[in-house]
Amino acid sequence: MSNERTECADISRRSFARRAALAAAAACLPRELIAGVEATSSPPQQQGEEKLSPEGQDEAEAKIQAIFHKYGDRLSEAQKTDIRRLVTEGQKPLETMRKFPLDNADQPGNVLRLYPDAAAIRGTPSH
Amino acid sequence: MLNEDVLYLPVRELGKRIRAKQFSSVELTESFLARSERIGPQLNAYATVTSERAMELARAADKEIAAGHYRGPLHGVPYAAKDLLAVKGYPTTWGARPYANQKFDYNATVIEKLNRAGAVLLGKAAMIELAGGMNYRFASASLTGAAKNPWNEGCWTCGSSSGSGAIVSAALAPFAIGTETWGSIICPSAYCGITGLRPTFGRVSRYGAMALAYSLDKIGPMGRTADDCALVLSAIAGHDPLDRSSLPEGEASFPYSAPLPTTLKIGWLTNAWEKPDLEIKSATQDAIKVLAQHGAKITEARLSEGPYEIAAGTIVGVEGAAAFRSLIESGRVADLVDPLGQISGYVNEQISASDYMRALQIRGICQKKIDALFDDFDVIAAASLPIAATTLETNLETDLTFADPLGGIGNLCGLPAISVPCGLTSKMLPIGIQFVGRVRNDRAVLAAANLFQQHTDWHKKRPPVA
Repeated sequence: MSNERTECADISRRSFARRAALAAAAACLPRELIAGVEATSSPPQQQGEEKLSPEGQDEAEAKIQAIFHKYGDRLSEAQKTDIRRLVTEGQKPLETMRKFPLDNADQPGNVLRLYPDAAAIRGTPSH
Repeated sequence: MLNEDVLYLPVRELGKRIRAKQFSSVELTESFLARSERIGPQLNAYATVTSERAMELARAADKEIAAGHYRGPLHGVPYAAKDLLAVKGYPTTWGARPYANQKFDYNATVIEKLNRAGAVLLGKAAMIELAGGMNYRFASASLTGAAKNPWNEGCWTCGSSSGSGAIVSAALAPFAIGTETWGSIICPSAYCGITGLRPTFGRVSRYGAMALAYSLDKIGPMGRTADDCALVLSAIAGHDPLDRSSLPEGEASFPYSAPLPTTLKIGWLTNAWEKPDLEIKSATQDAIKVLAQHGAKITEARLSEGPYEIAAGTIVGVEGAAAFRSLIESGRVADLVDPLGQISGYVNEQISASDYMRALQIRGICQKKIDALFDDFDVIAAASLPIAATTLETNLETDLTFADPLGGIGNLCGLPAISVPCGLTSKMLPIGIQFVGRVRNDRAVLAAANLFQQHTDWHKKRPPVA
């Protein structure tokens, strides 16, 4: 195969993590706070890029501003541009995930277990 | 010094020869150390070589064996451990500049268990910084530089268990310990032409291991054969009250003595990779034919479709941001090598609790669906990756074009998996096939891999490294 090809499975994880990596925390920020944060201009939508809904764009922008508000003084302009891109790219997968139908009875598949388990309690003095 | 033919022997054979006194653990350890010191630096394979400690352990092993205190097949056998496992008295850098001087005053449970088995730690294997927990764009995202593939030093080993892959492939050690959150054992094993086992989540204690994603991290062996991986798994598996996610003893332990089953129902996945390279497709189809010829029942199968990769990515993002909160908030992420690693933590911090919970609920649904698939199959199989090793200079972020539903589902649900070599491309780069099993059925994936290796010799191929 050609050495020019450049993918790998672990990379896939990172990419999905990146794209999935953003959501509504920033949307909870007060508007006045967001307005007070210096905004970098939004880059034009890339050709062929799937367009975000207006709500999705607002949410992405709020997250970007939350990052810049908290960490802006330590970021270069190039890093800010990169963060803007990462947040925007990450929004669409989140919207896809949110469309997945879930019911009240759908329990989280949390594989973490209660600690200590019964056997451990039996073998240790009480705390 | 023992010759290369000996250094490429599987763990079981090395253990037998030590026990039979054909050579001592000291001789074997000296030989692997000499090779590690000669070839390790050219591959950027090690973070630290622990020569003194290795020789002490080897001398102790020889003494015990001579006195009749034989501990088992790993007694006196050298290995390397990914540099995210705490080893008392040595740096544990997590592959990252901010932790370059970090030391722990205790051993990770895995290291303790291997000590008890009599195995000899040769050194700490190089790795991608923070196991890729802050993302990365280039193979060079490591305190020790890009790990080079023994099959072609212009190519990468894949990550994040990059040094572990290089070390086993180049016979700098007969086995190594790696970790996987998503792809970090399977991918380096495939790229480097070795056998790598990702055990069921919770089977191997993570105590003393760097956390990346608390509900996804697994520790597993990388070696020459499935049999070797089973031997190592049996030594490192087991309940550990120090790891909150550890399975109960009856489910965590892995007794390995009886022969592995050879009658297997294998589901060949038709939607694991959208467009695998033709050479990969051909090699993996040939591998499946070999299995069919030797008693396996092969049927086509399909993975359930859903936003499972996105859910897995969301969980990795949130848990990674939590695991490295102090690094992110302090701004020390700026000391990471990779430009993406320097900023992704800020981005991941923005994932909401609502989306994280949604991802966990989707995991619950995914667990049920994938479990149902195993009513029909012992294992499901696909190419480990749709491509072979990439160049060291590749921009991993911009050139990604393919989805990985099997990696997403397998890691999201904590399923065991193994990658075994099944061919070489025309450019002499290894090709891997993976077998994935039901939760706790590590035995089935080992059985499938073992059946394949009993009838092929791809795992015996050696890279041209010298």
